[in-house]
Amino acid sequence: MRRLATLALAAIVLGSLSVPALSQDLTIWWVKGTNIEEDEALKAAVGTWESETGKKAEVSFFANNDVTTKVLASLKAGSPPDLTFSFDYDLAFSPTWAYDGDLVDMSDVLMPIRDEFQKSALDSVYLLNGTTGKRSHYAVPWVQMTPHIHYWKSILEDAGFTESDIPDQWVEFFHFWCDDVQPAAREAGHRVFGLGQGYSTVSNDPFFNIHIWLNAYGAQVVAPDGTLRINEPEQKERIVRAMEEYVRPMKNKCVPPDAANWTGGDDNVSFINRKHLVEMNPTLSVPAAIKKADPNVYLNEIRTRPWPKAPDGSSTPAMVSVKQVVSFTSSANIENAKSFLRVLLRPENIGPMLKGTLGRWMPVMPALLDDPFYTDPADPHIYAMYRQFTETENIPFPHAYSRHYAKVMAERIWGKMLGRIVLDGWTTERAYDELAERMTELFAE
Amino acid sequence: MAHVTSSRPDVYTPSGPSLEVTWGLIFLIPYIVVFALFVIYPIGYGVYLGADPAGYRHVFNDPIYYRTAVNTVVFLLLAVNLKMVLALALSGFFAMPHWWVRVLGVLFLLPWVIPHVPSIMSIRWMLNSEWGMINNILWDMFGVIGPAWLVDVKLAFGGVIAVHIWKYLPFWTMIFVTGRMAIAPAYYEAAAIDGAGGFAMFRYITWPMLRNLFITSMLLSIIWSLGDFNSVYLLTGGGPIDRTNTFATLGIRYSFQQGNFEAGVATVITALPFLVPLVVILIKRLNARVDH
Amino acid sequence: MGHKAIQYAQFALIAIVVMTWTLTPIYHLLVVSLTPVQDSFAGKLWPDRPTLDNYVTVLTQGDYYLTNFWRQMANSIFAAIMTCALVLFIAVLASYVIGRMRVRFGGVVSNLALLTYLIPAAFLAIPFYQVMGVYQLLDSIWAMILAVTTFTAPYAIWVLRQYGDSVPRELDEAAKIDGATPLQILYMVYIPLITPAMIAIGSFALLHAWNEYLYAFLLLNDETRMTVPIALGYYASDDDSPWPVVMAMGLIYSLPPALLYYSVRKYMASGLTSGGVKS
Repeated sequence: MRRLATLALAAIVLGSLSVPALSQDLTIWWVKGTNIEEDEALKAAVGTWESETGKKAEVSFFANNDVTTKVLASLKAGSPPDLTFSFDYDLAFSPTWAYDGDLVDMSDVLMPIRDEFQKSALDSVYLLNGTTGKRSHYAVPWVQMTPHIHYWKSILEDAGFTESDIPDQWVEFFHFWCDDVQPAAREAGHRVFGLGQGYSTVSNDPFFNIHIWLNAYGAQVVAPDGTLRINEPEQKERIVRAMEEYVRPMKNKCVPPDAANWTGGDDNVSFINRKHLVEMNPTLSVPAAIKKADPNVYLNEIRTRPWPKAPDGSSTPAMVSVKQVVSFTSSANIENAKSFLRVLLRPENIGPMLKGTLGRWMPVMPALLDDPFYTDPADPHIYAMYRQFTETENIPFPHAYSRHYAKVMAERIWGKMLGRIVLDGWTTERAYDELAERMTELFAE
Repeated sequence: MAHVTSSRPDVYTPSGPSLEVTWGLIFLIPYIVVFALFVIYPIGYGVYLGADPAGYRHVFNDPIYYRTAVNTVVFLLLAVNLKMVLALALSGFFAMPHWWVRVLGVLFLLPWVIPHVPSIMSIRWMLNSEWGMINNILWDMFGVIGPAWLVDVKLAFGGVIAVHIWKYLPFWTMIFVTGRMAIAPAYYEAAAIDGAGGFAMFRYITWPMLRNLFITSMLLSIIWSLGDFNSVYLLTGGGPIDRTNTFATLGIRYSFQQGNFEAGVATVITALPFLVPLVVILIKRLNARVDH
Repeated sequence: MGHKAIQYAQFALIAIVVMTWTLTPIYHLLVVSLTPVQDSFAGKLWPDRPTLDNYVTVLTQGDYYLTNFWRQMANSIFAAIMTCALVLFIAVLASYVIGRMRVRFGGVVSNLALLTYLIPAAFLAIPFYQVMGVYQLLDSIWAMILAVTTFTAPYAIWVLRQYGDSVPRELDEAAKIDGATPLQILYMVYIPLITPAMIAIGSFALLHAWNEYLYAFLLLNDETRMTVPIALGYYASDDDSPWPVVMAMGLIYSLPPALLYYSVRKYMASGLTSGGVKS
């Protein structure tokens, strides 16, 4: 026993000597890529910066929800990373952070190269700081995304249809997959559901989707000047209509029941494993994953397409969310973060990096698009994304009009409202009332 | 302590006790340091964060908060009672002196021994309505489409309770087995001669002997279950639509998913009126045991 | 005889029900871990083509997700051993003062420890995180070690103190008369006598650190500094995880605590119950 105690003491002394050195010149927290290539590309850019400056950087990769959690916690504790990227910042947090004065003004990084960027991308990071009362570029636009539709061409054909049978009208389009293809595909031996329309509170996807529906039905929740319109009778009518249409497939058992709990990746898993026919996703992560597993499936079995025409016959615009890289005023190495960004944003670094994602993201620098990688019609997915961005009108999500909308996203009240209707059996009006009340409260805070 | 003092021969010179006090203080330094740095300071910080009325406003305006309060009470009532009653009953089985019971007892403890993350992830995967093993077997063997286990709010919360019981039942059963082992076999032998049946033996021998242990265990289990984060978070993540949260997960959700630390702390503080009396009663009970 | 047979049938029934309940999730873990990755979604009672490939993948770090598996395993081992050592160090000393020495403040310390023992750890997570930030310990394995130590030490003190009560004090007195200092008594009398309880509580601390999820998740960031449960959690929440491999990893990680537990089992039950909940 005596020996054990001595050992324990020795272990404690030894252990205390092995505290890892925590000082880094640059700490980066980034969303882990779907493919190893994404992460390798970032690490390569970090390597370039390290060799150019002789400084040391540490990069950590996390799943999207986890990086948000980590950043929120570290920001509160006063020790945030120097540079970070997550899919949630532009939608849920940056407007609030910028307003509270938490974000570093990136103008000196962006202005010298502003001509490289698409104007809408720069506009999307031009945020209001409540303490100074002025707007500035409080984030770096990194990539952009818009929800796409993917479908299983092979299963569609097994079910006895061809692609030319797919209607391009909103109501008919969804009716077709739910009422024609789903039963026929099951008849042909596929245990599938029609639509992969999520309604969980853990994923961003339902948030994107419901806004596509709202837009298709002409509903405007927030006006471009930032006024909340949800309580206007005319808007209410349209919102309720859009919500009713959105939940119809779930009520009609055209959506996998587990969609109520889907994380951002679960819908991918379900679609890739042929558990539903039509997937709605804001990036090309599904084709990218499939391409890696089986290029033949990528080329011949699945397809990517834009949204059908709105019920009134007008074409559906691309709702675009520009993803942001941010640094915090309480970060330890702001200057190093900016110096790394200058390296990262060079076309020779960001270009290959985005291609390394297998075309998952749309670049925000038009020059990068001048590349057969994006413009080759032989690619059924990347080219479809390219066309969706370049051939239809691009409009932002409502958080661009009001910083308060970030809280709507952070609390995921749209997903919650959809659950009210589908799981609790509430009427759409009642769910709308709760939604409108909560949103009004959040706007008043 | 009292009887020891009286039996101790007072051989020390006046410097004796002070030497003892000095050493006593030195020996306590490690714990006092840990206590000050990692208990007092965080609690103080929590109280400071909890002083912000905005946190409470946010929480009381959130319908999820009330739902969570109800969930927490249901969780404690159902999960703890079921678990403890089952543990008491099963302890009778596992206290039997057969070799095969001992082998089963070893296997029975596995859920408590293996880490939460892989085991609960396994359960979550198993319960998936589309590709989980349970529903696949239901389909393959009976042609029945199984329920969407983690989607229906009631089933999902039932799942949380089941996971909690699965995980902690073995521990409490082990505690009660030890308790039963301490009862002298002579009592049962005497009762058997008097012709007492199984129920009578439990009613007049086992229960009176185990009652104190049972009540203390119950109180402890309530307090620990109140803090059971893993069973909820790893199984349902609080979903669907945030309806299976308990206080242990809701505070974390506000703080680390929405960035509202004041609301997170407010959630925990509103649970204190419930927790504190339990803790006071328990400390009294545990101390009483030492003194006797 | 007939009565006996009925009784045995009853026991067998209980045994079957209890074992099905207990072992199904673990069996499922095993089945998925033996399933080829491309059959992840088969959901079979037994895989059509069982394989050990997933285990090979884990052990050779043969997947992108597993680049740091052995590093994380080393972190888990380090955290478990350090926590165990710290908890024993703190608890042996404190329990000795509280239970064996004639000092007035012993009772106060004892109650404070009990209080900590009764605070659900999940409730302190938020301020604990902030405080670790103040100490500059975020993303250090020590943050997690100290967290688990904080929440395990009170229980350890309690158990050791209870166990110590059952050891005759006459031995202390004899040593004292021989002129031994409290340090010598601690070393030569107290520690040897409470060794069984120390083994139990040391294992308890070890298991705790090995299994800890919430605090490790919050406090550790870098893949090379995290413990295995956190890595498992990350893969589970990622878009496109190879589930059978993750499950194999989980099963491998479950083996050491199971082995440890069964090798010290006879100390565990008596050691833990003497402090935890003995009436």
